[in-house]
Amino acid sequence: MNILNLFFGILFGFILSRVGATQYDFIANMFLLKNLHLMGVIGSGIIAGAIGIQIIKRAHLKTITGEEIKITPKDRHWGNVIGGLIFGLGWGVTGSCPGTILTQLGEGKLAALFTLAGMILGTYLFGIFYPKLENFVTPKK
Amino acid sequence: MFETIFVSVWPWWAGGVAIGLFIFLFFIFTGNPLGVSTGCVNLCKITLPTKGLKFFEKEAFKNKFDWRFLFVMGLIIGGLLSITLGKDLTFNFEKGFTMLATIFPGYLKYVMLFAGGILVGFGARFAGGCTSGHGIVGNAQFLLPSFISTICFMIGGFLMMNILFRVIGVH
Repeated sequence: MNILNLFFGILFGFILSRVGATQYDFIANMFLLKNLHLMGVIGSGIIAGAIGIQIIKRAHLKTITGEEIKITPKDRHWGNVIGGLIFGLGWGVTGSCPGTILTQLGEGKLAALFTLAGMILGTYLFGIFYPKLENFVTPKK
Repeated sequence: MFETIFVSVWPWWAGGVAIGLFIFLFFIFTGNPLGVSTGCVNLCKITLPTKGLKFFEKEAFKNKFDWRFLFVMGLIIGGLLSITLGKDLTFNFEKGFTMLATIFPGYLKYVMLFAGGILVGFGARFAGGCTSGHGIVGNAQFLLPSFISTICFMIGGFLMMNILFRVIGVH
């Protein structure tokens, strides 16, 4: 079942590429409010995704192998705000988010190697500072 | 028909439907919610010395070659597939990022991508997700933390892009 994840990765990378999410200029023009194409993609993606999730929940669907589907909530904490803003600033510089950085590499945009190296280092730095930041990412009741 | 699917950019609504359908199928086949940035933890554990760091010892990150690693590798192949079918099979450092290169020419572009990448990686772990985990799947579940995170992603991106192209990049 594990190899299926490789296939899904390929499919998601292909979709990200075909909708223009991997193009710096599309992201830039979304934030400059010149071309809202990607805003439309994200918005309609959320709506379409919500429909699917509701179907899974209401029909109590299981995976094809009969296992539980983990539709789990995410933690609410100050990291949503602080980390969210930091992520956003990085998104604004690079025009890329984790999924599109990797897809850009496959698209032959080799400059994304620098973004990838930065992203790995950023994740590492979070791991290093985690003991100090743990309080901020502890779920609020 | 071939042109519409493999060469030109899909219309926004078609992209939304594809992503929605993808999330559904991903749940049905794997049982997991879609998320990319946790895969960065795998890449971190593979490339850097993470031993002894509490964060990387978490149970969820135990196996660095788990499904997240395969998914992340798939993303690269997905991009490759896209340019192969779209007949744009070139690899070079000038490809993409044209607007960024107008403000930061030469090596500066790489410095900015690297610095921005650090913010992306750090911020995603701090916020507990990225554009896919929070922005799409979390919001599709109507989760408050995902909504808050996404608003903050957007505020950060809006601020930075407007500083870059309306303040620094005004010619």
